[in-house]
Amino acid sequence: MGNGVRITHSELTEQNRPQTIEHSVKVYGNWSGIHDFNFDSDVSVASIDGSQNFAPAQSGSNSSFVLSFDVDMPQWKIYFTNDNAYTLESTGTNIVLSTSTATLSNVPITLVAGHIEIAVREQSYMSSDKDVHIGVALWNNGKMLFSHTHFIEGFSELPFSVGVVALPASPTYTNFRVPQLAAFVEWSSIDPGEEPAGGYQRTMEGRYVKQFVRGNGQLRAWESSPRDSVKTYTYEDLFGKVSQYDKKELYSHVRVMGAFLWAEHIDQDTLSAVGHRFAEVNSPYLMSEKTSYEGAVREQRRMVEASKTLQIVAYHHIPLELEDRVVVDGESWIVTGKSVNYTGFENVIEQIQLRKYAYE
Amino acid sequence: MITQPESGLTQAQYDVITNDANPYAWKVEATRSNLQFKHVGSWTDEINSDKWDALVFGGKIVYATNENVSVMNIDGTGEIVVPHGLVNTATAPSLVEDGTNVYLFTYNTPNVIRHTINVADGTISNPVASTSSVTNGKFIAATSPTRCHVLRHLTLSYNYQFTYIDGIGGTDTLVQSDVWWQHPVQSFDAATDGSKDVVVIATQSPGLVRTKVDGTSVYHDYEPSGGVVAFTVINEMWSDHIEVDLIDNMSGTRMRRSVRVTYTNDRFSITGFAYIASKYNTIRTHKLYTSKTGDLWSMGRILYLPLHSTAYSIVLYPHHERIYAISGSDVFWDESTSVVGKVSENNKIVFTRDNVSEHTIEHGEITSATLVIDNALGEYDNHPIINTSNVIELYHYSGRYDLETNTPYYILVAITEVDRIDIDHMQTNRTITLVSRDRMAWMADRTQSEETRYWEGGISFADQYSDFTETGYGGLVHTAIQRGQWETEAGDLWLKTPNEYGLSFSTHQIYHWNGSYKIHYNLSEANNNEYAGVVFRALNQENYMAARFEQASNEIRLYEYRSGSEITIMQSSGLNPVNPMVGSIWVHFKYGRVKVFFADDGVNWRLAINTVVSGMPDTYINPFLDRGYSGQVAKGDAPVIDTTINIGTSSFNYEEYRFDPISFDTIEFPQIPYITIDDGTVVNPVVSTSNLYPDTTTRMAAIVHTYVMGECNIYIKNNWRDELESWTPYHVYFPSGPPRAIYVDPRITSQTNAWVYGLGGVSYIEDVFGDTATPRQITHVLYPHDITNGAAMSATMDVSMGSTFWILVVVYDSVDGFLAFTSYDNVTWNGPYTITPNIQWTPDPNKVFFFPYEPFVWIDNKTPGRAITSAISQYHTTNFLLYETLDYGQTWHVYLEPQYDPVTGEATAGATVHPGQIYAPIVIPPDQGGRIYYAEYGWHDVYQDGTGLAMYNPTAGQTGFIGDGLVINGLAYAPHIYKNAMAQNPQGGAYMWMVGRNGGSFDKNYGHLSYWENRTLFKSTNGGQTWQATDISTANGYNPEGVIVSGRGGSAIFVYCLNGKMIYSTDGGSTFTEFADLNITGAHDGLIGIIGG
Repeated sequence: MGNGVRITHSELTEQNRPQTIEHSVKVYGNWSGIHDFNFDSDVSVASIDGSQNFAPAQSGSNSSFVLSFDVDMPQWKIYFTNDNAYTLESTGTNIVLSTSTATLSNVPITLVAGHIEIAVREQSYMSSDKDVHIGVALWNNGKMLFSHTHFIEGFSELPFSVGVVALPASPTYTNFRVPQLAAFVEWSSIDPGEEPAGGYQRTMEGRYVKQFVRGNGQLRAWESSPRDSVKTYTYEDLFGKVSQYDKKELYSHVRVMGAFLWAEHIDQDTLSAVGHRFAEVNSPYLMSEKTSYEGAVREQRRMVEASKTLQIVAYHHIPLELEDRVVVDGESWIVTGKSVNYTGFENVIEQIQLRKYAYE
Repeated sequence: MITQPESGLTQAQYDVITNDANPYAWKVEATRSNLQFKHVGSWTDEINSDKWDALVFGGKIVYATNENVSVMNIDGTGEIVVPHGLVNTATAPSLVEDGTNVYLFTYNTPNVIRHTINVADGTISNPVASTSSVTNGKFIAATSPTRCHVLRHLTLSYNYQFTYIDGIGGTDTLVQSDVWWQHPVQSFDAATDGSKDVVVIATQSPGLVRTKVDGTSVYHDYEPSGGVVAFTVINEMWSDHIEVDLIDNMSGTRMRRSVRVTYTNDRFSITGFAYIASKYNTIRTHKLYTSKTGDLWSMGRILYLPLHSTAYSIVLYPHHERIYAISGSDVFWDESTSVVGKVSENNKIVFTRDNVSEHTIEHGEITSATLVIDNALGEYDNHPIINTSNVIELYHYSGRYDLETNTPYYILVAITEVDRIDIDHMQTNRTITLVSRDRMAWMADRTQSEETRYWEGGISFADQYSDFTETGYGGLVHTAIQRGQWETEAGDLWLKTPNEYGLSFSTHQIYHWNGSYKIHYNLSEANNNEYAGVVFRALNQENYMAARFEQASNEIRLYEYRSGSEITIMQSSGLNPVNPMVGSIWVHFKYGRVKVFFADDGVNWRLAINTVVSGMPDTYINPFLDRGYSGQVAKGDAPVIDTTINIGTSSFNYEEYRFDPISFDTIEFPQIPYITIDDGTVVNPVVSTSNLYPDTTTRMAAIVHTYVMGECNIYIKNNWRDELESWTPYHVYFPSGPPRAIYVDPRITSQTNAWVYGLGGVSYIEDVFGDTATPRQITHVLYPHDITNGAAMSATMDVSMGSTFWILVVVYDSVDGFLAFTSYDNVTWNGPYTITPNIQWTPDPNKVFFFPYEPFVWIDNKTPGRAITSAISQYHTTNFLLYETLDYGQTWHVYLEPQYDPVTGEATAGATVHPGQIYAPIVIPPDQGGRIYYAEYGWHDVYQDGTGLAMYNPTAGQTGFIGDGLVINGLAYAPHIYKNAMAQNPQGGAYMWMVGRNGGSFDKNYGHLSYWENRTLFKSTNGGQTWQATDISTANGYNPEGVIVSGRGGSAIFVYCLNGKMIYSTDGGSTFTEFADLNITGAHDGLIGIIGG
């Protein structure tokens, strides 16, 4: 007598597009009528010769990413690594997902040349960091064709890197890109009578992404990151300069409550400046302790930025945009806003609101 | 920073604008962004449908229907109408231009044919037929002179397959997609931007099923969803579907239809016709959806046409600085605006320091700008752009002069839309102030969603069946058990019920329309007829699809379960697994395509089954089947279950305390409690999970007006609850006789297509309520048969929501006998199939012969292919028979026959099946019991004491009439039940209605009450067991003839009367109200239908 039929593993795959934060911004933007966008990339390579290996480029995320590229033939092969290493190959007749030691899935599915989108996500479905799987899914020209979920027993510590494995067929990869806003959202939605921004807010919850519309109508969204200065102002360039340091919203301990687990970041500099001050932020779509911690670091930095502000008056610098980094008297700041009066004076004067650049 | 490449300037020019030594320059361009179409002209070959195409080319507007090519100048003059003489009635034509020529594409099965149009005279030439063949074309849409998309409609499976023929004019090929769309498609179009094609359809999509309680009725309500769906096509691959505008609760007052797509300047533009708002204030308008990529779309903007508005599609077509809107009747134009991707040079006005007194911009999260325009001379009064009726966009340019050339160079620094216009009217300071914000305001507050929209994000989910909760039960945290006992142990899911099949669902996703499900399994015992497999598109434990490896046959078999019945769809070849006890199954299900992979080792997969399944059953028998659960099914040996487990010192019954995170039954299909009705009787409410009618709306009712020489009016009230709305007559030409009943095409709720049947047969009318001005056209007529020998012919029909879409019509012809016709698409009719020939019955052919005086037919929605027809009556000694078909009407057999003395024609003493003539619709409640109610014209002496209504219960055997001898209201005589005068909510329920005669004396010689009749509406509150008379009777001023119950809960009841009155109740018949505004004299047959249930 047997002991019963056993199901040792099951996988359910939806047909949905991978909803990253970038994709969600596009969803809401398009819905409102905005069709032009501007995003940053963690990986952005215009063209790769697939006859040679392409060194891995770090995606910046350790829990998920979406890699997209265009390829001129059905044969291609990429790899991605964090704590583990994987390759994903389209042979022309099969799709093969492997680790460095074993083939995970080899399925007869034929692709065509064109656009490839690969979503990789480490995810947990309950309040246990042990119940973690890595899901890999593939779209070809907008059609979902392959998926695989692999049990990994814990979130990875290292961030993902992506690259290309040399193939004799020599495919050419173009627009090889991992977006900066590659973190996944669970859904996007709008209720009747609701504005897109309302839906976006519910989608994002505690996650903080800056947005504004550029002069050419592009909706730009990105997560704050180090950047180069685009303009230097000396004292002689200024018609006015007023600074402010407001500690009211400055917290040294920031705790982010994720979906299942929370994490806390303590900033030593702020601790010395304001002592023990505690803030708690809910971000229910952060699935691991590590992503919650990363969220806490970002949140604390945002508080530091907001605590120090500067207002200057200068000649209108035409290309200057919001969120540009500028240097004023040797100190770095970020453009929060600017007011331009084209008709008040013979020369056009602008008043620029700045906040502290906190990556130094 | 706006970089030099982004600025559009050369490096030298960019250096100019960043050099503080150069003087500033700035300007603001104002433009109107809203489209304001102006009428250009009208088509002589006007057509009120979507069966046309148009474009603008070389100063001409070209328009084609299935009959003519029309060309007019872009100013509306010089129209030419030229018959093209092509046979292409299967699809509408399609037009495309390549900058040199205009081409007309037609479809003449199985080929696409391209013609070149001479736009100077409208003639066509140079026909080129595709060498590739594609059958069953339903729609075509050309995207280039060499490519034409063909949407096939597979009649029997009811799937739509997307295809295109490429290379037309050379060596062409047919490219077939793997998209087998399961839902009705109302309209179709395609366009290209040169790198990809966008294909768009107006269609239905998986609807919602809700359990509702209405008074004492508990029922499942199917709410159809649908709208606009698109696909992108790149390199011969169709994307997954893209929701452009899908709405729930699609109905006659909320719908999308008549879609078109064009590429306008820099974006795809989809137009469609929409009914928006609610049933109490429906707005009919066109909508415009835009996208630059084809995969994400804007919310639908309202697209107004100034006059001659149409309820069908319009084509947006750019032409230089203009945008044209072309309908099947008229042509409109406007200067191009940013909405369609290009601002016309004629739609701009420039402001500089010379005519502006103030210009400021506040750049922030939402950038705002103020522009004060000098209007001293009133030059902007009634201005075509600076006007309060416009949506004004401002393009703010900032720059500097090149001192050497005195040339200004600019960068676009903001685009803002005017929120507020302040006008200072004083002569001393006439100014106009424009206060505006940038497009972030569209996100923040300028746009709001009309409907709920949801973009799902989850991709894949896995289950290791490990207990990470360490509670002993956590292994089942994502599993809902449906049948059998499942446990998790050592990281595996075990079926512990020995040798009985077990079923469990994953709870990771509960609306799993398309996707895949994969399992790795271990069977239990060799040579034990075991199996394991994947369940998908499951509604519950009795309705799902399954692919399972079967030990006995060494195959994977694909099954469909309906109401627990198993239907084999396909089986693989012998798999011969390396280890016959171990394997993996991976099912991909997307639209109508099902692929099943098998792996010996869980890694290296091979394709075992690749097939297309019928979509309609999934949609219409159980809509959830298309949008349900996935899981696993298995059967195998197991030890006898020890149902008691010990934790500490306590003892638990395992079944009772089993961790089951979701009780599927209670969430989705609760056990319906018994209900106590008004009189204290406890009844079991009749609830069906499978016989769901896809109601379109309850808002309309129809009535037939006088029938004269083939013409009649159908009176429609779009919202029957709206007392202010008048009844609108819709003129219908119906050649063969007055209509008897009307059925709305349940597949296309966005367009009210209908079948009307009457003495002349059955006719199909497209968009029967689309336009009051133009008589509706009967597009298809069934059985245009000469009636010989003067015998009467009757027809009846039903529309199945059953296994596949089919229509069944039974007719009686005195020569050919009792016949059936069937159709799966309302166009092609099959048959006639003989139900029974026109033979005479022995032993007394003079006394007994067939004469289906009033045939009625009923299609079993639960059993594919099954139907029952009644009304074989006998002329002298009245008898009846019920015939049954199990193969979609092709063959018939006797289902129920009377028991009587063949010599005398008298009923056999004690017979439980009576001679009698069915004289009202058989009513078969959609419950599991399968009872049949019918009104028997019981004139015979033996039964004159009250056999007016009978109820047959086949589950009790054919000897088992129940309810025999029901007494209605204590009458001693059989009431005369009128044709069309028995009704029940199609979804079942305890309430039933019928019209009969109440009181009077009975004349056995003529079978009815020969004097003093009192027509009365009777009501039963217990499923027909007892009946009570209502106040709706002749004695109270009404002359009831028929009754119809709304399919939505049954609380709305309509009773029509021979004196032209119609009354309704909205409270289950407690009170009735007369349609006071309905005053139609000469009504032929009163109410003939409720549109959409």
